[in-house]
Amino acid sequence: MPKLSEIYISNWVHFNEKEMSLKGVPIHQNQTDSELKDFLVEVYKSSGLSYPKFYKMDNLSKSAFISAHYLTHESEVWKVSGESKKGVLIFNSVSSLETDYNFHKTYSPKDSIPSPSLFVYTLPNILIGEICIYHKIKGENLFFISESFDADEILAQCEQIFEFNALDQLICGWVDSFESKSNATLFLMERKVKQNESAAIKKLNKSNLELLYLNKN
Amino acid sequence: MSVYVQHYNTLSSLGFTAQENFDRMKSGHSGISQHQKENYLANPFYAGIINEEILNQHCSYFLDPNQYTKLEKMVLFNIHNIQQSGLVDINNEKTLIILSSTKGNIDLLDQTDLGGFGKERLKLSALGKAVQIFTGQSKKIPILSNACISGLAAIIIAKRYLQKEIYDNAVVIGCDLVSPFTKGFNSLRALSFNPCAPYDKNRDGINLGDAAAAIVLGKENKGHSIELLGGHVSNDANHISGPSRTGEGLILAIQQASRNSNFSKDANLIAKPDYINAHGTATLFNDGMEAIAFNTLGFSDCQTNSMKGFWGHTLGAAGVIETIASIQSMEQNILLESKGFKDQDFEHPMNILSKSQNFETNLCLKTASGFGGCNAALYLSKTNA
Repeated sequence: MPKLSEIYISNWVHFNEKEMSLKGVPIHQNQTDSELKDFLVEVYKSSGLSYPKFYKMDNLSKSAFISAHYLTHESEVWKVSGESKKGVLIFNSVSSLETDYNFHKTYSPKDSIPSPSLFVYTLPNILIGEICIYHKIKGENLFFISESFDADEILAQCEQIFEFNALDQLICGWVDSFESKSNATLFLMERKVKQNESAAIKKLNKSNLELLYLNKN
Repeated sequence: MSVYVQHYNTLSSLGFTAQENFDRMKSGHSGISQHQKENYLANPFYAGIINEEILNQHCSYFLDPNQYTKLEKMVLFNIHNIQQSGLVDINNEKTLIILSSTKGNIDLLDQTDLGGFGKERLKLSALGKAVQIFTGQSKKIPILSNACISGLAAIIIAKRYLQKEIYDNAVVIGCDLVSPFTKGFNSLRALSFNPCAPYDKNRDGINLGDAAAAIVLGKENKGHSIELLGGHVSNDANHISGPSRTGEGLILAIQQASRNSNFSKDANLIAKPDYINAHGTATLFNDGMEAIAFNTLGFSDCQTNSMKGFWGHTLGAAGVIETIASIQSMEQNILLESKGFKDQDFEHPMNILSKSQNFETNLCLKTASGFGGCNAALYLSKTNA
């Protein structure tokens, strides 16, 4: 069973309504001051992905989905890892509240019809489902609600997940989307890393999680 | 390191204690009844709803009912019950409290002026904050929100923390409410307008139910002689709101839960339980998927029930409230009828309990599946101590 000291952060990605960055380097910026929903589509279109289901997702799922794509798309190990050896662990503070409001608007006027397609997105772990479907991830998948990004809490959960599931790789991080703003930071955590990649990888520990979350490194 | 059940409490439409709930289930009662609330649904519907005035009467001697939302009161009622039991110091730093909920205080959205509670209270994290303030805890209270597996997954996570010796005790509280918001299930055509009938060939959808239930876990085998064995959480990677057609995700969860229980050195040998308390929401597809999974595993002759016919689908509370009733079944050597079940679905045969009966269970399997493609499975055993 892997110990926490044997787990590495091999990649990390940030997304918000202003830019998408990979390992702290901006790869797509919102130069036209587009609204979040339009910026998400811009990033999707420039990603080379062809996945029409993207368009029906809410901003929370879109933010997580596109971030997970950039997090993993260059990883050879990711492509060959077993389906049950990969997992997803996500935290946020407001759950799916923005979509909750939007769903509520569809049924609050008298005699109006509640939207089934919006209702589905009123569960935060739907974004995990979207990521699992696209990446064929069948391992542990958990969504935690926490007041704010807490490296200790993330570490404690990662330790359990890697140890009790013998996972090879985990998409882990923070994804909030509320009031047309998104804040996603995802880490690709793995226990098998190539030596020649050692310059670009980080040990999984509290200070690295905090530094990378703040995009300082 | 073994993890044992030390205490539990159940608050539902059937009663305010676990014993009251179980006694009423044994005598064939259901908390589900017909309601006419036009802001919920235009037509009368069946649900297991907790009367808030009665809840207030039960809570008013240890809190001010006007200061807390309905769901918070339900959670704090359980916290108070645990405090009164004297079995565990919930403010001890070696005690973990973990909540499971899909929607928290979402009912406020349809109350005038958010019930006067303010929009911060709509955030799911506010539920943890309310418990933290009430108990005077210094540490934050995590909330697991994994659709309908939330409660069972929270128990599995709590057990791991104890196994790792990070905590001495864990309190898992699952909670959710029926509200106008949950009419979304009707928009998905998942709601039945009759009392729900899990696994019945004529099943046509879910009923919803209010509940908050708490289970206390610890490293000492005291009081209940029930041990939590292996658990596992998986994903179908198939569809966000429909179950897999093959049951593969649920099968994976059960297989890995069995391996995590260390029954056998042979990883291919999956432990067959005496009794399965399955998810059984009473939708066509969920129950069909479970039947396929249990048939594939060779479990179709195991005594099986769903408890949704007693309380409705209690969402984030379901995994906790149903695990508690399964534990009571093991302790009292009684398996409960799968309420609402009449006719076998011959397309997917299973051994569904059509009436409550005396039966000694040493090994129970609890499962759950939910939107987002998630599945959870946990084995429980009776100890002979």
